Amino acid sequence: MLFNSPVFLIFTALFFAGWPLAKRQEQFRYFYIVVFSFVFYGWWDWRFLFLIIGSGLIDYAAGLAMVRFDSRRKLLLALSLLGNIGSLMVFKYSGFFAENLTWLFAQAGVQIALRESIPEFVLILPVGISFYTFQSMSYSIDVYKRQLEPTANILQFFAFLAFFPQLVAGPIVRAADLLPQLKLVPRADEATRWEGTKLIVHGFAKKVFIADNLAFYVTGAFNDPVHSPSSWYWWVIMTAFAFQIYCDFSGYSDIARGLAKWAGYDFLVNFRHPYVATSLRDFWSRWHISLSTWFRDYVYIPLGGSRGSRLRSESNMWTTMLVSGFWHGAAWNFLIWGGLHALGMSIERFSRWPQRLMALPGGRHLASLVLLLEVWVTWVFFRATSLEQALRIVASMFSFHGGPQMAVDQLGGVKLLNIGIIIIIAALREYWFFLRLDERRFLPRPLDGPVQVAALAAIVVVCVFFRGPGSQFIYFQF
Amino acid sequence: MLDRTFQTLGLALLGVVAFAQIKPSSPEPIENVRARETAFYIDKAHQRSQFDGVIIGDSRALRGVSTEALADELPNLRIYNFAFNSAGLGDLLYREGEKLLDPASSAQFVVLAPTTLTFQPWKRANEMFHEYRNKARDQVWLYQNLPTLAEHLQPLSPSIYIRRAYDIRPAKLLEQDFRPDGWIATRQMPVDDPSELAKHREYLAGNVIDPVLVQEMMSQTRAWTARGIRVFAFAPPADRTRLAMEDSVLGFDWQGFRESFVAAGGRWLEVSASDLKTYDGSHLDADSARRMSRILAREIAKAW
Repeated sequence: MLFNSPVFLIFTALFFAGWPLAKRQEQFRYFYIVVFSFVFYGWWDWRFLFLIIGSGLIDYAAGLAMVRFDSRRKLLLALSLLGNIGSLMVFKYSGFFAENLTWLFAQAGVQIALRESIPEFVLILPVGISFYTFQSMSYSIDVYKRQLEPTANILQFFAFLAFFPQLVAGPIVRAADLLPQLKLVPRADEATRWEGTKLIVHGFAKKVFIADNLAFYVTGAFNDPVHSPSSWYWWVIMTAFAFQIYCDFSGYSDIARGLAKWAGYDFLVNFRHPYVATSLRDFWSRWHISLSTWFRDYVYIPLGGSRGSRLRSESNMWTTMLVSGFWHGAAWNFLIWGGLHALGMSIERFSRWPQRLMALPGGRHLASLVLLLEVWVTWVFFRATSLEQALRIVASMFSFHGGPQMAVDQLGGVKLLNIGIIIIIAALREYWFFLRLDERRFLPRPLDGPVQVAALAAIVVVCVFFRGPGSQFIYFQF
Repeated sequence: MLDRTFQTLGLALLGVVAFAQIKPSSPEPIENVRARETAFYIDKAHQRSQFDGVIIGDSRALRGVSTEALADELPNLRIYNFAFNSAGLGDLLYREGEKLLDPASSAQFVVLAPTTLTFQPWKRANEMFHEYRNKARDQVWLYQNLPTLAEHLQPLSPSIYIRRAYDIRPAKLLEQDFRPDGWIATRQMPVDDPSELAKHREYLAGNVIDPVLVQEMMSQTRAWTARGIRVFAFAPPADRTRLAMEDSVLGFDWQGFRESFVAAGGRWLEVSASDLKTYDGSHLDADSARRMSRILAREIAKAW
């Protein structure tokens, strides 16, 4: 079920209509969340509910068994990880490995078609599999590390794992954050609900006004590329994509956080204006925070983190970034995307260019600009449909071929006007925070409330009438 | 005092109703019919009615075959235009097209409209069909059952006010009339410059014909013929220079193709008229589409 679909409006209305009653009694509260969350997920394809239930049961049982059979903790953790990583390998990566093994065999002169032997059902990527398996894994690991008391209540466990606002595209919520919240009777006063409403409306605006409108042009450019494009053409398209993916994903996170607030729960902030970052390290502390901290806590630090030699620390960072790239998609493009970010961070660490640049007058803006150039180029690998296409686009971006007028001709005046309007709005939104204008009060207090209500209502009207062609959230495919 | 969330929702609802009354029309006609366009393709990809005959092809058939004109000439037959933009002739469209044939009809027939472009390998994906077939269920329901509401809520282009204020109009105006029988009556003003052919040549460079798709058409023709379904085919007319260029770039042997089709049991129809006009070298304008469809209907009647 998509957040930006009419059926979700009905679903949400039903959930929140019953919630004030359902939340009072602990067991019924869990039951209510689980039933609604399973309907939410099953609406896409009910057959894949078994995967969430299966992967959840493994971790639920492993968590309890770790307490009971203390000497077998390691084995139980291994079983839990095997279950989660196994389901990812089967449903997300089997096609990738089959294709690459087939290619390798072909190089050795052996002709086999491994992909064709994989059942079609297995090649369907279950929506949100990377999110809920990571959430489930973090539970087992935290129990193993004795940082979390496992829950014996299976309904509470599944309410944590499958809570519908964040089930398919994050934020990846840790059990240590959500399980205690679920146990208490949630309270959402008017101010909390109002915070939730603001998040939801702004999230929808990011998704349907900014991301969906830009997606229309970006998809067109990637699916039907113009012949001999001007360098400017791809810089415009990649700027559009950069705002598309950011607003698509952070829009989803905002809606998820807003819905959670309505229900009386609190999810951590997942995006903190990443395009005002001044280095890649800074970028990753602002982009998809729940995932980057997951990788930090469960991959980078267990590998040794920044302890040990400089080489060891670099190698740990590279491993983490490559795994993170592969988490995003089963294709070489994503591995290269992760690798390029790792390369950029290594260069940052050795050259300390962000610090040097920031020491100059206006250096903060300059550092931010350099960071944006890096991120824009790496997004090419993230978005391209093949490695060959990505390399062609990057070559075109740096070919300095043609001038701005050529790009205008190739994009078309009206198209460029639409892209320009949306990018300017999205960029101003970012720089509003960059200039810390969000912390300033522009209106006297008595006017502030009604103006906020009117502004939010106006944003809803904009979302309805200036929405782009509806499309899935990008991160659903991960 | 009312919760601010409900105040916002109430005010937003009023705003939506009010804005629907005053929203501006676009200087570009195609933007004013987006909701109708979506409803048209959803209806086509989810078509449940049944017919005696279906037309299967790409945009040249979609815009070139007026089923209304066919029906004028063949009044006892119910015919549906099941063509899509950038369609590839392959198993998917054959299977889906056949589902539209009324099993109770004693006059089941299929009209295939092959072009060299329908046999390009990447066309097999039939992306447009999938796009509309895979729309969310609630969206399909909305467009099928509440089309007026969908039209009221039709989105506007973000630049609409700027374009109206500065009278920015596109160089070409495309008018589309979406007909319930699957045809799009299309006009464009002004028509394309012939020099645009060079762009088309660039676009086609490096493309090939997929022999498997050609073979699929022959085997499907044999299968349909064996089941008593009449199979006709014709090459949809377009600008002659453009057609010659497509044939030479893609290296398509029409003579051999026609012979294989007839050998498979199909009936080849020659549809030509010197005064047919296209608006972009590739697609017939609405008037020519009507004229061509009458000729096509007469050819079907002759070959029946």
